[in-house]
Amino acid sequence: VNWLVATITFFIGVLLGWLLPALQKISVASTVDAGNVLNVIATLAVAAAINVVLTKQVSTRQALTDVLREHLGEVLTSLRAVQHAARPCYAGHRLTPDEQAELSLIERELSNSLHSFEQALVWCKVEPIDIDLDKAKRAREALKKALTDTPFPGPYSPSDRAQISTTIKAFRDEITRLSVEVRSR
Amino acid sequence: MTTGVVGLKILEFTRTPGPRKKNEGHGSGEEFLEAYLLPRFLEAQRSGSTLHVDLNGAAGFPTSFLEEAFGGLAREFGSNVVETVLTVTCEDEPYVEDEVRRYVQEAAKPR
Repeated sequence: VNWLVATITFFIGVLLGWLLPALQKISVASTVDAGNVLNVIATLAVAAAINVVLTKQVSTRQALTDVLREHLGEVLTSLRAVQHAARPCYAGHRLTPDEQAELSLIERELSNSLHSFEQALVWCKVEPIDIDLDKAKRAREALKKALTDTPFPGPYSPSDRAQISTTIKAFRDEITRLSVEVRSR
Repeated sequence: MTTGVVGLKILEFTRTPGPRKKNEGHGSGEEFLEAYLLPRFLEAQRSGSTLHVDLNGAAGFPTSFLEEAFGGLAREFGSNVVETVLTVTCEDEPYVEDEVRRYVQEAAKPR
C-alpha cells in the first residue's frame, strides 16, 4: 500500500509539474542547464531516501503493533478459559479440590498472559503514556479476588456469582480499550 | 542490617495452595502461616537474617491463601517489620510478588 501511494504521488507530482507551467502560461526553456539537472537529481534522491526511511518506519511500527495485538489475543483466550473454569462457582456449590486447582492454574495463565503483554510493551519501547496498563492490571486483580478470595472454595452466594460476572466483563472491557490504544498509538 | 538468608520453599508445604482457613480445606494459608512461615520468620528475625520465600513450583495461588499467609504475618509483626525481613520470588507468576507486597502493606487495614 505504501509503495502504491508513493507511486501515485510521484505521478501526480509529474503531472502537476507539467500542467501548472502550461496553465500559468510560463514558458519553459528548451535548453538544458547542468546545474538545474543536478538540482533535480539531488531533490529526487532526497525524496527517494525519505520515502524509504518512512516506509521502513511504518513497516516496523506495523510489525510491533501486530506483536502487541497477538499478545492481547492470548489474554482474551486466557480470559475465556477463566470464564469456563469459573462455571462451577455457582450459588450454593463448593468447589472440589480438582476444581480449585483448575481455577488457580487457569487464573495464573491469565495473569501471565497479561504480564507477557507488559513485557512486549517494554520490548516494543511503548511509553506508559501511550498504553495505560495499570487499569487492566487492577481489573485482573479484582477478577482474581472475586474468584479466589473468601468465600473460595465456596459455597458461593448469588452476589458472589454476580461479582465474578461483573469483574470478568470489566476485565474484557479493559482488554478492548487496550486493543484500541494499540491500534491508534 | 541483615547478615544471612533463611529460605522457605512453598513446595515444602504443598504444590496446590488452597483456601484461607484450615477448616476450609487442604493447603490453607492459615496452616502455611502457622506451620512454616511464622517459625521461619522468627528464625530469620532472631539471627538477623532475611527470610526468602520461594513460591515457584506451585500450581497457582488463590488470593485467600496469599492474604491469610502474608497478610497474617504482617498483622502479627507489623507491615514495616515484615517488609524489612521478607523477600519473595515467583518467576512462575511474576504478578504474585506484587500481590504479596500489597497484602503485607495493607494488612493493618480491616477486611
